[in-house]
Amino acid sequence: MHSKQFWALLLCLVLVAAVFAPAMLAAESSSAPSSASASSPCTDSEVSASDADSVCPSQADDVSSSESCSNPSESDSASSIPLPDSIPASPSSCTSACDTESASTSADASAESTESSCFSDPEQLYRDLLNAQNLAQADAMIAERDPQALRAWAIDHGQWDTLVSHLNQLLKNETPMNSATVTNAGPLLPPIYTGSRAKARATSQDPVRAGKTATQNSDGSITLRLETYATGAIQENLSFSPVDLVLVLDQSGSMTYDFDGNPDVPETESRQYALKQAVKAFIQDISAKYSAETDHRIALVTFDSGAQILQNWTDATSAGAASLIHQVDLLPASPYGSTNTAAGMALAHQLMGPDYNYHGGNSRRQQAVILLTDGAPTTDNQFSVDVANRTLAYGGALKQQGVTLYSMGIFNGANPAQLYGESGYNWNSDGSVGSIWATTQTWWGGIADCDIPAENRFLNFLSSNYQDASSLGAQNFYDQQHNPPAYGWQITENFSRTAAPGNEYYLTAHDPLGLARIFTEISKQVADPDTLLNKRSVIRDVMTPYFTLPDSSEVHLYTADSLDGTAFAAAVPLTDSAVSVSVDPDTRTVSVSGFDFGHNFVSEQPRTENAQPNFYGRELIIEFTVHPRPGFLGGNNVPTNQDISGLYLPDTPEGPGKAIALYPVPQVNVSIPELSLAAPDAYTYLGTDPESLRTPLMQQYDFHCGSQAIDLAMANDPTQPYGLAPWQTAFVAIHADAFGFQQHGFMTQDTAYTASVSVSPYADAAPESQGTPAIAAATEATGQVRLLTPVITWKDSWMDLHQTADYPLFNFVSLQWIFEGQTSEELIAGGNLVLGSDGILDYGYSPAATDFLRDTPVKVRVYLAGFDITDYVKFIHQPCTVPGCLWDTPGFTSDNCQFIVHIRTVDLTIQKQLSPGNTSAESFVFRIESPELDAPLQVTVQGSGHVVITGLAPGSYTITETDWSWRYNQPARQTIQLDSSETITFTNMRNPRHWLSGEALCENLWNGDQVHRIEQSAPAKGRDTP
Amino acid sequence: MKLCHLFKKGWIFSLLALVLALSAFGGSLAYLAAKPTPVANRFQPGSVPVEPEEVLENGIKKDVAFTNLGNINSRMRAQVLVVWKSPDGQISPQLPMPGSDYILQFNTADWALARDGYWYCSADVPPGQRSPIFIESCQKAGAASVPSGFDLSVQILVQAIQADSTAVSDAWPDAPANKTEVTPHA
Repeated sequence: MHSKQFWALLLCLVLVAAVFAPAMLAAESSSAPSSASASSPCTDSEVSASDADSVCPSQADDVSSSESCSNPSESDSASSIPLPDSIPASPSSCTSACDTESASTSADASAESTESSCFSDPEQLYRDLLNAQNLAQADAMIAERDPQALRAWAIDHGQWDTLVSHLNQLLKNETPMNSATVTNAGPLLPPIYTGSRAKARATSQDPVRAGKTATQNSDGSITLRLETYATGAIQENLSFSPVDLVLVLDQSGSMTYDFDGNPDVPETESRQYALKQAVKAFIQDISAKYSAETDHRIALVTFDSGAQILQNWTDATSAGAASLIHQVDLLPASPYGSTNTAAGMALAHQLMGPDYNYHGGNSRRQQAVILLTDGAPTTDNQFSVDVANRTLAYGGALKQQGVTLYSMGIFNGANPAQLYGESGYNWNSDGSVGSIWATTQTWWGGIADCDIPAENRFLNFLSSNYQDASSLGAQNFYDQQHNPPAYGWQITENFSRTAAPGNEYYLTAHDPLGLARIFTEISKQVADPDTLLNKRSVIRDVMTPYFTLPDSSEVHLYTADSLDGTAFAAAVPLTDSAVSVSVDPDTRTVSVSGFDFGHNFVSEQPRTENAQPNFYGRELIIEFTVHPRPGFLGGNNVPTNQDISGLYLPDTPEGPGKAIALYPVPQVNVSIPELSLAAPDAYTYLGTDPESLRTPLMQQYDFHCGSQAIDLAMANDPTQPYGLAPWQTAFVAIHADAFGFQQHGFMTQDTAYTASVSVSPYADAAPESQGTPAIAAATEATGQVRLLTPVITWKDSWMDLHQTADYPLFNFVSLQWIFEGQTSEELIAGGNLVLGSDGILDYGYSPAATDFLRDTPVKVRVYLAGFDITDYVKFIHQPCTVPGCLWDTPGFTSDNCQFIVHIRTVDLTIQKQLSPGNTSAESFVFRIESPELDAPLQVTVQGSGHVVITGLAPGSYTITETDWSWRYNQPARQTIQLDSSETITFTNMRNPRHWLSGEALCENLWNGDQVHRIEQSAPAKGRDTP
Repeated sequence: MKLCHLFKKGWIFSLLALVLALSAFGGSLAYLAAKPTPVANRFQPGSVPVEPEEVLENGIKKDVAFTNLGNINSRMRAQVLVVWKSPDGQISPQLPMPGSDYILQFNTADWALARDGYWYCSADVPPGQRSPIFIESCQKAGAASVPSGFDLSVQILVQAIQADSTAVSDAWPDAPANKTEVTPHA
């Protein structure tokens, strides 16, 4: 740890050189410790705090002027005692200024540069330090060089901040010392009671006895009986006193650091910022508890190298709190100075003494001082035993006069459980007087690692943990004979802890939240306004929601006199009209007030102050009968009242009165009402899995428990389970089921099912629960599930030849799910229960859709989830309007088809017209061409005959008479748009051709595999034209 | 035709011919009136009627040829029209496909397909003779896709024209030149 903050060396050396050099030189010739201080400076984790305190040279001047310099070599009671023989040899890792070998070993990373450079070259040292990977390396480098020359060089060349920043980063990389967080502040000491109101000696540790019983009657009602009385101890325990608080706040330079000791942090992460926030909240908390009877006061003291009263005693009224908070706000964001706790405690002592200045009526007051610090007591940069002892002297005086003293440590290593260095040092202490804890680590000045236990010892002894401590009980320890020299502490005196276990007065925090918690915990020790338990106290029985509330007239009041402080006589009706009963249905609270518990407190000895002989006190008995609340489903172990039922102090303007005693919570068993169930008939769709209907069917059960309808559809509602308020089902489990379906998996038929419900108590009746244990109730019913099946309507389509059929588009009309003529929509509209959803149907067509050449009947098959459900489907054929549709004609059977795809075609008749008188039977050949045809078609006409081409797609056609009939002129080709059947006529004249000719035609028809000659024209002869 | 020719020699010759004709006519009438015995006509006009011949056997139409029923040599041409035809004679617009719907074997050795699309017989057919076989065989294919209600119809149209003049080139300009005369066969 000594090497963590080598830069402390730089600052220490500056201080030493500038301020203490003469003294050191003088001491060097006569004092070994001074030699150790000069030649073996040491660092530790907290040195940063103390070191920062001495950063400002001007502050060093202030320190020297305000407090004596507490260098161990000159001012504190340091001892120079040789180590006992049993002390082990110094560790080999220990370094000193003279141990150049170990220094070079620990500085391997920079060894070459170190060896090759001149030691007096501060620039080279500066560069080496920037290359140091850890504080050990930096420390080793410094040990061989001249740090003062380095500092001078760095400042002159503007590199000082860079160097400090780098070394701070190395410091942050080191493992911080763990701090304990202790916030459980003990109560203000000593207890001060407003005893003027105490009237009797205490007879019990319990201020109030509050009992409650529940008895179940034969009709199921429950009679509740509350018995309450006060004991003699009550009045003293309920009294509190106002408090005067002095906050002694550290304003040293290290308060600008964060809780990990990092110096360069934003203001909001600094200890100072956290302190200001916590103190302001504390002031507000105390102010909130201010009253005429609890006129709390606060004073603020700050300390650094010196101390000042920031604000004198101020009443913690709203205005006073604002003034105090304003002063806290004015505290600097970056304070500076050392940690002169003695100066701060001196002012606290002054405020609690000569400057107490309380002139109010609440003379019985408590006092407390809260000291917060983040460093060791010092007026420079080293732990000062002198400052510590002077601080503890003031603290001891305050504690002796009854002031509670809280100390707060927010430094690294703060630990209330520590009083000495018990481990981790070269020499460890066992806590006994004379034992030491010490280290041979190089001491660079400032706060050493081994000073941390001393700091914890200091703050422990300062606090009310050690009521009798008035000094540190330890002194500095040096052994110059040891090589290397040892530095540490030796115990000179011990004190016994006086605080009760769990009550802590030395509190620690390691973060802003912990600091705030400390102040909050302390504020809780400050009393609220005092209140007595008297006629204004109220019994509140807050009923659970499971039972009816009584009318106020049904609440019967009795009293019973105590016979001996424990047993009571028979109850007699209370006749005191001052005692009143009220019932608040909103809060379900039965309240009884007006009974003077203080006056009637019960004692184990006769109440001599009462004129009535053998009067031991009196209890109040409240009795009323309730019933299970309508709608409550019962159950076992049902509490009759909430656990906040009890005897309360009267409400105050600041809030409701505190509970002085709480009633037990008797439990009763409430039987479960009889169940009734009607299973609904439901409809669902073909193909539904019955198992999928279980939940939806259950959700529709007409289910009653007693008169309470239970909505199973809301079973899992987070706010209203089963459609009920949570209290109705708080003690029972509801179970429902649907089973016994006669169909499984893919439903194709109607089915019956069995519905069942049960209501069961969550728990068996506990032995102490009153009444007959509730048992489960169950019932069953039967319902029907009927199937909706598809009814699909198709229609014929009529399309042009070559147009591809599209069944879903042109032939599908509608799909309805029908049960006995009613669609699912109609069933729902009629109030019927339709469950599930219609499945997606797939269709298979035969033949598949294509560009049919002629009218084509189509057969449909229907599939659902892969199952062929055609047999369960009803098909409807919409009447066809296509002319000549065969659907309804006799002889047409629609068993194998659901619709017809009609192909719209036209006929073309080619009529050959010869000239008048020409009766020739010659063959004329015509070629028909059209985009509608795959290829030209040629047909023949005999003489003045005709031919019909049937089944043509509508479209444009061109007809040409070929030159086969060469004796005739060629008529012009004709193009016609065929949208309907038409006849086209070709007329031509015979040309005067002279040649002899003849022709013939024969035609064969293949009917099946047989061929027939069906026509042979008579041989035709041609001849010369006359 | 000789009369016409003579008539064209001039009106004198025409007048003389008219006188001679009237004289002959009158003489003839007088002769006939005196002797009513019938006289046989010794002139017969030329003709080229043609008749298809074929063999139908087991659903196969084969050896289709044409007989010149005329009294002069004739040149022949033919074409084949294949359609789907209903029993009532209506034609389907769907065309039977050669190879898949029917199989037809032409005699391409003796018949040639001209650019006008007609088949021409390569030889003249003497009177009373039969042409070379035009179609060797024709049958419906086994896997024919017959439209419902239709049968396969094969029509063979044949024409003949006098072969001994320029008639062929005049009437059928695309006809290839004939090569030989058909050899009579038993």
